[in-house]
Amino acid sequence: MRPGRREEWLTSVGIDVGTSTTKMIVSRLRIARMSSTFALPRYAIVERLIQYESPVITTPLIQDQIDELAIGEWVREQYLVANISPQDVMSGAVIFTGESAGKSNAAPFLQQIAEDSGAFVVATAGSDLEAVLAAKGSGAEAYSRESKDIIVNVDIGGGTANAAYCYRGNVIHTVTYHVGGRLIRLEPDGRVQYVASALEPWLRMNAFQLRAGERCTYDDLRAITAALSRSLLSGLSGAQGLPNGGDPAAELLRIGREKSRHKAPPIYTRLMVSGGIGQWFYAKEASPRSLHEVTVHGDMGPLLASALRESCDQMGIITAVPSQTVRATVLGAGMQSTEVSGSTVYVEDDILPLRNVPIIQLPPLDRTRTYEQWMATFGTFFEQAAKWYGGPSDSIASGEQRSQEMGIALPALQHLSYKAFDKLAEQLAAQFRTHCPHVETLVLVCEQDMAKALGHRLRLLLQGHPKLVCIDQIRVTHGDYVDIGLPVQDRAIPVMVKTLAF
Amino acid sequence: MNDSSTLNWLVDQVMKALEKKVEDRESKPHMIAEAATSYEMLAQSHSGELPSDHSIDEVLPHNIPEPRWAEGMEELLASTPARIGVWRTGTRPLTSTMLALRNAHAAAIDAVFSEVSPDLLQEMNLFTVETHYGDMETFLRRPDKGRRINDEGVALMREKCVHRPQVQIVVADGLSANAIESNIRDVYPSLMNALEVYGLSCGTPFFVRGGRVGCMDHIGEILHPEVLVLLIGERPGLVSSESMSAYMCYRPHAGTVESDRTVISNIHRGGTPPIEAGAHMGTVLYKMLEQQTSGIKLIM
Repeated sequence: MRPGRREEWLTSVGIDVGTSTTKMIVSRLRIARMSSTFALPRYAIVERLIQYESPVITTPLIQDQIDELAIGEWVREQYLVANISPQDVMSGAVIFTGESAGKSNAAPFLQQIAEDSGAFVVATAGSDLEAVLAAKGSGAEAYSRESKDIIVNVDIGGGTANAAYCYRGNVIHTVTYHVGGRLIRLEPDGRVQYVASALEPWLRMNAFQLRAGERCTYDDLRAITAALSRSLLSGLSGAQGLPNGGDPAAELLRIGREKSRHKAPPIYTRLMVSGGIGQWFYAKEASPRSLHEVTVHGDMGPLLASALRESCDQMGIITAVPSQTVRATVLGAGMQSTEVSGSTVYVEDDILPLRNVPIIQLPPLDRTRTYEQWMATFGTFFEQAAKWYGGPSDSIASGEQRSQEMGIALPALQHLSYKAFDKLAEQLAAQFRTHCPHVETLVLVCEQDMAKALGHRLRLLLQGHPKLVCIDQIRVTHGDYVDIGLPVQDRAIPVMVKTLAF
Repeated sequence: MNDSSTLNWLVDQVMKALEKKVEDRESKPHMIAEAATSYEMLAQSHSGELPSDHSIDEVLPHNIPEPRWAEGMEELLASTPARIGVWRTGTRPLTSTMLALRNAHAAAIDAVFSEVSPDLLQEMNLFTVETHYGDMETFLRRPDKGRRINDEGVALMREKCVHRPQVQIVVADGLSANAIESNIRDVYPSLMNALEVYGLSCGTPFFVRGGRVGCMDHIGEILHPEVLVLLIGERPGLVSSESMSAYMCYRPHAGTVESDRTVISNIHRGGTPPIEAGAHMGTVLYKMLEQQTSGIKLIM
């Protein structure tokens, strides 16, 4: 080791507050140079170690609301046990999964925990990202890298089932359903304590009579969980290859159905189940035979798991065993949420870290148009962008809402000559100056290795306003949010992409 | 260069004849595509300024008639510029593969014997000095001759150059003039941007004909720059004859050891991206000035 060279480790934290359980991990990520000394430096996260795993506790609630004080206190305790302080934490994510995200007090509390937990811990409640993190934590993503088939990881907890489809080491599709163990809570004698409102339209469509305060039998519950499993599996396969074209009720459970039409999911060949239900799903001997056995946690979870297993068998779905079940999401959040940017980047002083920079994507350069035609679209693009970010025209209306930071994703451009590159930089600078003079910080995320050169050129063109950050070799898409951390050892910049769109 | 254009013409004719034969038989259409693309890739002159349809970035199609897993094959091809998935006839490669390989070899040899065009030097505003290399044969046999600038060159440097500059940029043909022809237009302006952003001043750049890496030391003795960057053509290989290196040194002088030079190599459109390499050189030079050292002692 060279003199004056410290070990390049960064501490990352994952906290997962779920509908039924809460857990936390502390991990250490090692960053190392991957390129030879004769090439441009390139760094990557080469090792991920778990430093501390908290016990899995029951999420503290006060009358269906998350008990924020109790969780805050618990997190502080865990930091003490793990022997870390918020200042040490360079990356990670706090996640509110499933139904807890829908609970009214979640959002501000989530931000608060993220801020108390370290300078660069990201708060998120997006189900797409949770699905991605769970697929990374369960080992589905790694599994797909070794296989030529599509594997779907479905993380089923108390409130939701987050599914991520992995192919060749990448998540290619996500979808989330209101399917979880604690959507129906009941006592050992069959008295129903709670039925989640999200489940009601589906229950009605399937003509199930179930109301809080009433009693239900083991057979009723069996029928419900079996139907719920079939709906989920039908939704996951996009009804392909299923008798009768699948289950129309599945769509009633899909989260986000008001916002977007159902995009047909890819055809998968293997299913992996993580989350609390995953734990029961793979325990073959654990098929509850009576209400008493079902309600060990006061909910329908164990029965849902065994019903799902039976449905898989009936439909001939091949399953794969995850490396983690109940801790998949928290492991993904703590260990896999961070990437590092290419190392030849351009960052002006004192602007990192940045949080929640919304990304808009320049249109791709494809064969339907020439380079000039492509650049000619920048005018409309920036005009649009200015509106998005609350431009001068509606500054009175949006008031404080206007964003000071703007993120632009540049598509892959193949080989660029300097002249073409220069035209690009001039076009970007000119359009930016015309349409977005109010933006304080401009973040450019390039797909190909050109961030430092582009940063230099734009700096000379824009003369210090806005402040500039140019990073590369990170793939983002329209609608993503990115967090950019402080450089580790002046070289590698941790980046977390919060994917909201698939 | 007459010989090589005749050779190119011959190869072209043979390929056309082959393609026609294959076409007639209407089998393996992807083979034609492979042969045509690789030929075009190798033979294309430095095409326009804008991204072209055929570039080294593009993955070449393979010749395997029925790959067990087509997408996996594409992944492998995308992971390397090496000639993989070329298929065979009996125990030998296909004729198209052999011709493409020999063409690449010929291009490599041509690159060694090629010269940087006066137009380019004029465009880049570089004056020329020569080493003691004499002729090409001597240049290849006697590396030491390429490490010293001749007397006229020394006089010219003394007359035209800023003395004791902060940064001295030198361009040399080395073992591939092609490398300079293909990359200097992209690397140089990007490096100049970087120097401006870092607030570094630059001396008078020039071109060395018949230069080897060691000529940095002789130039250092004469102009005494704080840091010197030499952009020089690399020994050509079969993947690219257009690969360039940047050697950088803090206060180069007679007796500089090789471990005191910092290098960025493999600069060409299929390797280290030229524009980004230019920008990174600015950072390396800045750190050299800051730490007053270079080579293995430099902490990047």
